[in-house]
Amino acid sequence: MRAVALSLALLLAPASVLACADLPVQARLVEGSHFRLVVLPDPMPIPLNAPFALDIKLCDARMAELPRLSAVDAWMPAHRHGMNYMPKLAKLDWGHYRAEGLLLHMPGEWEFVFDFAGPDKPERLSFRFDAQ
Amino acid sequence: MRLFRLVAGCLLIAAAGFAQAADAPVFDAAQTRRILSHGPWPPEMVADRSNRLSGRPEAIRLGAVLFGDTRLSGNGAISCQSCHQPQHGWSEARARSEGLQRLDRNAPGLLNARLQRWFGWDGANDSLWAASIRPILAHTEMGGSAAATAQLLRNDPPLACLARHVDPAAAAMEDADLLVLAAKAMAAFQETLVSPRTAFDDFRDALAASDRIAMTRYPAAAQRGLALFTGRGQCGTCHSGPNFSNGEFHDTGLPFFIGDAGQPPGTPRRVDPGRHGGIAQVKVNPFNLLGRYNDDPSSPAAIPIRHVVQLHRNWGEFKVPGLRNLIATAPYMHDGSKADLHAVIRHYSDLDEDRLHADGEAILKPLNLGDAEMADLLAFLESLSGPEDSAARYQALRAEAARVCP
Ligand code: HEC
Ligand code: HEC
Repeated sequence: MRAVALSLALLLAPASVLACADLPVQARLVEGSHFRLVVLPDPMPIPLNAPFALDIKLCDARMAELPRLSAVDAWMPAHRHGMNYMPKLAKLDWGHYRAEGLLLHMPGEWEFVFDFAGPDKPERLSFRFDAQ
Repeated sequence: MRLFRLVAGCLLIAAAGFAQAADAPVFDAAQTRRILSHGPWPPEMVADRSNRLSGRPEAIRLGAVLFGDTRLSGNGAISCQSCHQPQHGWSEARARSEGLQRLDRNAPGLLNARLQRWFGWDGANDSLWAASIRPILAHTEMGGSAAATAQLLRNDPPLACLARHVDPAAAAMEDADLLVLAAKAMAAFQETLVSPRTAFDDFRDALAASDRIAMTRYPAAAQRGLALFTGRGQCGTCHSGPNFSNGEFHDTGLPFFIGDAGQPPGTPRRVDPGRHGGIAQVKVNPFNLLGRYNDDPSSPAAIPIRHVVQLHRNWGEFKVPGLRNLIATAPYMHDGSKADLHAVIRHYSDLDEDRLHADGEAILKPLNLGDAEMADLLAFLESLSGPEDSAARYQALRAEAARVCP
């Protein structure tokens, strides 16, 4: 039964690899172990001191190996503190997520952190951003 | 070669003479960007979508009248104006406010209040109108009620007339809805309280326009203070943006205990929980932006309360106040414990690092400022004030209301 569902899903997917074309120049790209993480802020660019959301896509991953995004967070390494807000993560589609309710309350360097669960092992990807 | 050096030297002196007084600092690119981020001023007036009365002249008028009305209080003797006095920048000269009881906190000035995200030193409210309901209902402050406020708006002829101008259906509203209407009108009035342009703003705009002549009008001491503020002092990390506040909460190492002088020995000492308590309160407040009184649930103002989380470090954190027109609002800090701006500067200079949370932020460090540096920082802070006429406009609104609804 599971095998049928799986092959059906593979059949229905336009290709067995999620490709992301036409990425805006402002998109942040991070190389994962076997996929690329593409992050698009909304609004763009990321504002200082106002709420924003992140549109998150996993690109170039094979469907069967698609990891699940389990958490998104941001913190300031130099100040040793995170945000005062807990983003809410929603899955929109295969490999496509949206995190709402982020707010960077200080100018300076922030690190965005993305935690993935399985299928084989957890993975953490990140990038840094200078908020001004 | 010597001639070249001489000419170059003359040119340099001439350039410096144009740019600023000889003892004024030179700002690098990063500092220039930081300075520009403290403007422009005043910010654009944006209506508060959670308050349908925001920006409406009839509501502003009603709000100005209610703000000074002692009948909103349980004992008929206390109005908003008792603690938020126009001549003190809508704050008061005492350290801790006294309503029906002595409060633990200083009354904040209300100029630029509309620019905040959270209201109160602990952010226990998430809108200007909810923050205007709180003092009416608090038994320690005004000790009023929705029923008494509603009765006043229904039965007092001038107030009923002013309320009718705001909403023809006012008289038929439920008590709670009339209380909210009164608070939203007072919020509409408070939104008009904006601090004026200052010497700093002229300098900031001159810097933006690379107008070196105009820049020299800003005193050298204030420029040096600005350099400290945006540089070694790191003040702008928290006091950011045009209103010099990031709208969030931090611990600046003030004493934990509430100073209850004159208590008998052995009385347990009290601690103000600050933001930790504020988050708990705002989440359960029926007047928060998730509740039914928000006139536009899709307003972006309602995003923060959906995502705010209570953390251990919020204990003893207080809201970062804006720094405009501080000249009128002494004393300072949430407990009014600093009598003047010099005392605030001394606090940042001599910070007690052991007192600051060990697991907390690594931003504040004792600055060990010299006397000249302290004087510069003071000159800068004072340059964020200017003469303003909100007291006169308040009186004019009240006079206009008396004409429209005698
Ligand atoms: C007894 C003195 C007192 C009275 C009366 C009073 N206030 Fe206040 N007000 C305060 C104090 C003290 C605070 C800080 C409260 C806190 O941090 O918990 C405050 C905070 C506020 C704030 C939040 C400002 C900010 O920047 O965070 C607003 C808005 C406000 N008051 C409006 C009003 C209105 C409107 C009234 C009348 C309905 C009123 N106040 C009556 C003492 C008073
Ligand atoms: C870590 C964030 C942070 C930094 C950095 C910081 N402040 Fe503050 N500031 C605050 C907070 C929070 C308060 C209110 C503290 C309280 O009442 O408990 C405050 C209060 C003040 C006040 C009192 C205003 C009033 O209305 O009571 C002044 C003035 C001030 N700061 C100036 C400065 C200067 C000058 C610097 C740099 C030397 C600075 N601050 C650095 C967070 C900060």
